[in-house]
Amino acid sequence: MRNERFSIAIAAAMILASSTAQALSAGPFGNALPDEGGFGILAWFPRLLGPFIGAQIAFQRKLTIGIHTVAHDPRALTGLLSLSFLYGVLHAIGPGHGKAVVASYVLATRQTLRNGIFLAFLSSIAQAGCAIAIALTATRLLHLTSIGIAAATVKMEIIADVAILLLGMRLVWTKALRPILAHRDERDFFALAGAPGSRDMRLPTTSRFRAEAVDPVAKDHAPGCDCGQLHMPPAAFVAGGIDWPKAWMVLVTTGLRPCSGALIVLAFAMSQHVLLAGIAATALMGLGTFLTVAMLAVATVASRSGAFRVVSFETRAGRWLARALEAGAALVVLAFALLLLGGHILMANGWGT
Amino acid sequence: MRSLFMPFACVVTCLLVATRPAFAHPHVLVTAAAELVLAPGDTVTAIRETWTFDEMYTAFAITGFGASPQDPGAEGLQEVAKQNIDDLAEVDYFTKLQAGKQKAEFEKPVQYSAKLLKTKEDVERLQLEFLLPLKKPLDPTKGAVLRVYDPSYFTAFSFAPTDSVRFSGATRCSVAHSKPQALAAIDQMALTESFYTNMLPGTDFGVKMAESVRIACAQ
Repeated sequence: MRNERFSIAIAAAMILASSTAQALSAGPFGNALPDEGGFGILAWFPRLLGPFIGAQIAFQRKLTIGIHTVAHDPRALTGLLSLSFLYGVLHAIGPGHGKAVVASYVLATRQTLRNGIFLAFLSSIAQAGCAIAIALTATRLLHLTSIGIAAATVKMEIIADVAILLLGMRLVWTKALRPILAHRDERDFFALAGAPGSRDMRLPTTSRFRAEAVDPVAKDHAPGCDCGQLHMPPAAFVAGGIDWPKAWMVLVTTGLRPCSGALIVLAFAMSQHVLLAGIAATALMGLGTFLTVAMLAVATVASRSGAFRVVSFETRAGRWLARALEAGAALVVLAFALLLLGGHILMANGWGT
Repeated sequence: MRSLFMPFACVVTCLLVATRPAFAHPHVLVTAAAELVLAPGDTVTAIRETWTFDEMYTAFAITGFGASPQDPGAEGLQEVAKQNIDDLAEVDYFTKLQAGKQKAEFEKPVQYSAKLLKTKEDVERLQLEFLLPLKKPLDPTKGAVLRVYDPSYFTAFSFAPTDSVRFSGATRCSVAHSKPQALAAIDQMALTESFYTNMLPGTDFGVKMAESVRIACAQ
């Protein structure tokens, strides 16, 4: 265990050292990279790209007008808040806002619907809160310039990206590599802890609904253990809370990157002397992004159970599918982290111009 | 099993090289204007560019440059201009001027300034003006194209449809604006097949959304 963590730490330190020196500059005008490669979901719907961008620009203009109006007429606040909410919903469809990390994490760790939505909520609120905190601290306490704020945002993004890298490496190790390495014998690879054919023949067969039958003596085989065997989540786990040690990493990775759009909105609200309205608008934007990210989490959980309604978990095909889904999701998180960190390095070296 | 982890970590590190930068939707909207400075003989020696930023970004841009966050003062504005010009050097000032195969290369501007314009709603817009000298004069007489764009599309540049690109003196050259095919198609609701294929994200998405200004000269 310690060896493994040490290796992760070394790898992360190498990456961080090489990227920090080069990647400390934000682009001009505070261009901090969004936390999704390419166009995120929109890459699958290229026809929507033009209208999406047009709609974003239109919304941005409306937000500007909305904030300006609120400064003169407080009754415009409800309009501004509804607009901000819609902007959040729309904005989150574009690249960023932790969609990929939350969805992949939910898939890889078999989260329930409730936990998936809860994670989506926490990460969106964390992003909005982070933007508000930075805007206030940077201007009121630190008197940073816009360029200073942008540079600080980039540094926070790099930290967040390294956190995603650690999370991704951890997930890939637990969900993809270790199972392969631990169970070279094919029968063992598909062994459910306690199922016939598994190494531990003493344990009775378990099924999704009879998890209490698992022998409590086998304390190394609690769900979430890293032994590499596929575990049926016991009823208690399925209904229970989130695995906080891993989940906090998801929150750090998504919450630590304030939305550049929110920073700009807050700066403008401050200039119009309606900071509170700006904060409220940012909070509503956060709720809007929560809605979009939650819908994605719901779709992820639903498609996973849908897949298992078609292919029963207890068949070999079912177990293959389970392994493949989790390993695939773990790989997505890892590939994502590589894209992000690599993007920072390349951008700092002048690519993309 | 454990001994395999370090090689795995190294492979992961190596994979970092094979990645691409990401793109953003625009957060900054700029209205651009350009004056092409001509030497006798109608070669372009410099471009005087004027960029006017949107109100919301303006408030963010001037944050912290003066005594109070929202009031930079004259010195603060000069500092805003200087830091932006410094940052723009890495991205070639977002400007591309090309005549046939010859691409213009730029030197760092020494003349630049920033000011705040008041709109009619009494909101301020930042205007950055700079003179961008070319390393070698460019001859546009056989046709040239000027584009001002951000390849990552974090900033969206647009030219006013008339009178935004001029020449510094009397000349036999003229300009014609063309909107990016993608945005023009949305305007005209002409959603043809080529519109869709043109919208595929690629490394130069920014250029797909860029307006081009064609320069043509009477012979």
